[in-house]
Amino acid sequence: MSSVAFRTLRSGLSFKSPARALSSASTALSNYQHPDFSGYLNKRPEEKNRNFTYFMVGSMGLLGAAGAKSTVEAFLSSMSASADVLAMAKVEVKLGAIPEGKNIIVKWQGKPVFIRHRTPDEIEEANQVDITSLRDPQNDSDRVVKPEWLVMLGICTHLGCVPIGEAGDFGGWFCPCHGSHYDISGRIRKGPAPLNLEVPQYDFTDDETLLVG
Amino acid sequence: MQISSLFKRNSVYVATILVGAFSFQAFFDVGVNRWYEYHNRGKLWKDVKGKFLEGGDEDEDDDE
Amino acid sequence: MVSYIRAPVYKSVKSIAGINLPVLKAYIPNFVLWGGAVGAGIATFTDGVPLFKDTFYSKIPVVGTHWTHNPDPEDVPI
Repeated sequence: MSSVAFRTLRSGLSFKSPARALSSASTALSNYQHPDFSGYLNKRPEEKNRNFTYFMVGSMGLLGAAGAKSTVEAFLSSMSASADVLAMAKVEVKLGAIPEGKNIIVKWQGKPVFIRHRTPDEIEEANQVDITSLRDPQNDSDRVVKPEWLVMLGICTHLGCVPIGEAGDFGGWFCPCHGSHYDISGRIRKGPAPLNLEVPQYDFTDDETLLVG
Repeated sequence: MQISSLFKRNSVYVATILVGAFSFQAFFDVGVNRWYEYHNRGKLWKDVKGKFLEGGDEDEDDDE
Repeated sequence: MVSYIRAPVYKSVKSIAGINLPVLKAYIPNFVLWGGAVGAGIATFTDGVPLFKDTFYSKIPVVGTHWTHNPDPEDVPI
């Protein structure tokens, strides 16, 4: 008797047919009038619904991929140099006008570039320095392409002043702002600057022409 | 050829979306450009170039 | 005379971390399709890169001219 009741209860609450269980319960237990939702039900076949959903999800993915690409591209292209910078990116210098033992300063990308036509004595002097004693050890040969032409950015590596040529304790450059002394190879020798004067990218297009940049 | 054949495999689905995105970019680009040039017709450089460059044809077809 | 054996003789396929040759073979079509998907994704994201534009996209038949840019020579700054 009890086992029969238990079985009925269990089948009535079975999750295999919840709709039937609920509907039978409602008719049996209450006279509550359920609203009729059948008009709202989608009567299209299941396959069509699924295709529609997949199509919409895929379309969103398509637009999302295109949008993501455009965003990334806009961001990356904002980091690349603009046309006005590129137009000024290279400076050509005629070297024939610079006599031996003279400095000239050219402007390159808004920065001063020191070009010195070094004498053989100065080259010798630059090579004889014991680089282990330097703050920023660098061979003179690593700082020049042709030893007689020293090309470097004229910006003090300390706080960005422009050093004065043919001055200082080492015969090279002297920064008046805080007293940094650079030697004839542009290497820091004395004072607060931490690094040697920076050497830009440059090339000799022919014997008489220097291309900075 | 059912549209559902695109949804059967995820690889086909993703490939379709990305190929679609690639071609969509080109079409969108062309479409936006065409709209922009139509919207700003008469004011673009290619329309006024003749007035500013000597040697260009001096047809003054503005002032409407 | 039939000679019986006591039990079936099992041989296991060589596999590395559960991946073996038959499984890989069964997956080949899927891998090919995924490769196509990856290629399309790369194409989508390199649509604006000049190197890719000149090397690949401008050579697409019929619509390839979309990726070529031929300004009037007098509009190009020197």
